[in-house]
Amino acid sequence: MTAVRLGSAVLLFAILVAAGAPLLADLQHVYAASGQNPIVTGTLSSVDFYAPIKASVIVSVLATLLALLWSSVPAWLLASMPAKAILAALAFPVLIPPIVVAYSFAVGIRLLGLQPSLATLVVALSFLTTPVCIFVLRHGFQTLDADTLAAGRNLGVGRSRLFRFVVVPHVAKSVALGLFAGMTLCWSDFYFSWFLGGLNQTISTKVYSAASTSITPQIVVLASIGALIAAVLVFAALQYSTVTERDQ
Amino acid sequence: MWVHRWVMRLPLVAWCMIAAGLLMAIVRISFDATADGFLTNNWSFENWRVVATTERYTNAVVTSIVGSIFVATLALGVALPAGRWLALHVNPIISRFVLPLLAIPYCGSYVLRLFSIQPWLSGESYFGIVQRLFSLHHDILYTAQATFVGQLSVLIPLLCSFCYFAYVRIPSPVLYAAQNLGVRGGRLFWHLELPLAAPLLLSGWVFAFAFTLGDAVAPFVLGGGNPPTAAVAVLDRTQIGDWPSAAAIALELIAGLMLPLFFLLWIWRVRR
Repeated sequence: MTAVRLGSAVLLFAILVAAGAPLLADLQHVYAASGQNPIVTGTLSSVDFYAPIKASVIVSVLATLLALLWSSVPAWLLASMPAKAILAALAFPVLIPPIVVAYSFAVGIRLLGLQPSLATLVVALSFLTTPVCIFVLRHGFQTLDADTLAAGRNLGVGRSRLFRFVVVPHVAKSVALGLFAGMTLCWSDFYFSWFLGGLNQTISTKVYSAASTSITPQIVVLASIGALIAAVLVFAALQYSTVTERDQ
Repeated sequence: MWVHRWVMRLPLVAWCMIAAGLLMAIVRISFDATADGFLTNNWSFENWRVVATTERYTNAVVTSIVGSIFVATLALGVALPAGRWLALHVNPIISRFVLPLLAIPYCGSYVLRLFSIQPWLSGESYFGIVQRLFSLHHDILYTAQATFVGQLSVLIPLLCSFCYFAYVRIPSPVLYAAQNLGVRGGRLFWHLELPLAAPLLLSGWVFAFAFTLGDAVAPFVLGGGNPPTAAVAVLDRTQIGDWPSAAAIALELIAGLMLPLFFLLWIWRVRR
């Protein structure tokens, strides 16, 4: 039994090392390159370097906010009913390979006569993020105590005040979780940006196009920044998640 | 009252309509043809015939499905003991810091990660040392094995977190009670842990399968397009403007996803 535990621990350690090794290798490349050329002053001050980061931030924030806005009412509705079939249907596009969903959006905007742009990318990514937001918000609404709401109504509190002072503080944690989880999903996207971003390159498409020819220190720095922000987003999402709390 | 209820349901209905509309758009465009870079509405089965009869495309779809099943199963098999250990034997405070690390390969820059792995597999770096150590002179870069290595490097850590969440949901008193009753080792795992953790483990497997099936980056960067996969074929066709053929292949990908999904659902129902 101890051997099994030891083996599992070693396996987890190996997985963590393998997960972090390429990132460390990238940072090593950056460090090595920084000694030869003024990478910090040269790269970080160029407009070309900041454009993909700016595009990624705009897209992930706007798409997630749109998805949260869009999913709040369905989540409220689904919280009060047994909705296994509807939730399964909502999860369906998440399970379809992203390349197919992104391609279908590209076909859709082509048929509508629209051009790929940041706006189409935001709308498409909000569609992808909506199920995640619905699941998270629904859980938040479900944990809302019906007695508290009833007590508020009995005390003569109006709908808007009840929403502002009871519902919103209660679901704030779920909203924060939905925000960070959605932003992580949008931040790491590649296929949607590839098909729908048009000339606006996000971090992943910029890295893909540039690294196809040669991996320069600038690209490594860009990707490292992307990975670091993704790690921060995941960490922030987990702080608001109750999934990691063990049942007692 | 019913009007109010239906107005409230509008976003959900709109979302479902968009999803159905997107699917219909792919189906519609798969019957089109391209002439001088423009689509022509001719409702022909030519794209379907070409995709179904061309050996390259049929091989690509079969390779994608078989490869995805292999990668998803292997990733889950490796991740399960590590995720289990993390959930049952590690302090929750430490696991909160470990979990983001496990998610970084998937949520970080997947594209650059694959480019970083590329020299490792070409025999120039650490992997080359291992190859020479075991007298292996087979360069695996631009082969199917290299693609699998790239996909597994992302999926194993991610599935570790799936397994962690699956085990965290098992109530501790149930496990303690079983252990007090003398159930241990393989019997505990097979009769108690696995049935309780199965829904999330299966979700993880399906997620890994869908990810691998639709992955076009690893087969291109590490596999060098060898053997060709369906996702790479979709990217290739769209890059040369052949959207109808790409639509037909994309629909085959969806069909390929449905087969194991229905099989898993059938197993689940039979087991229950």
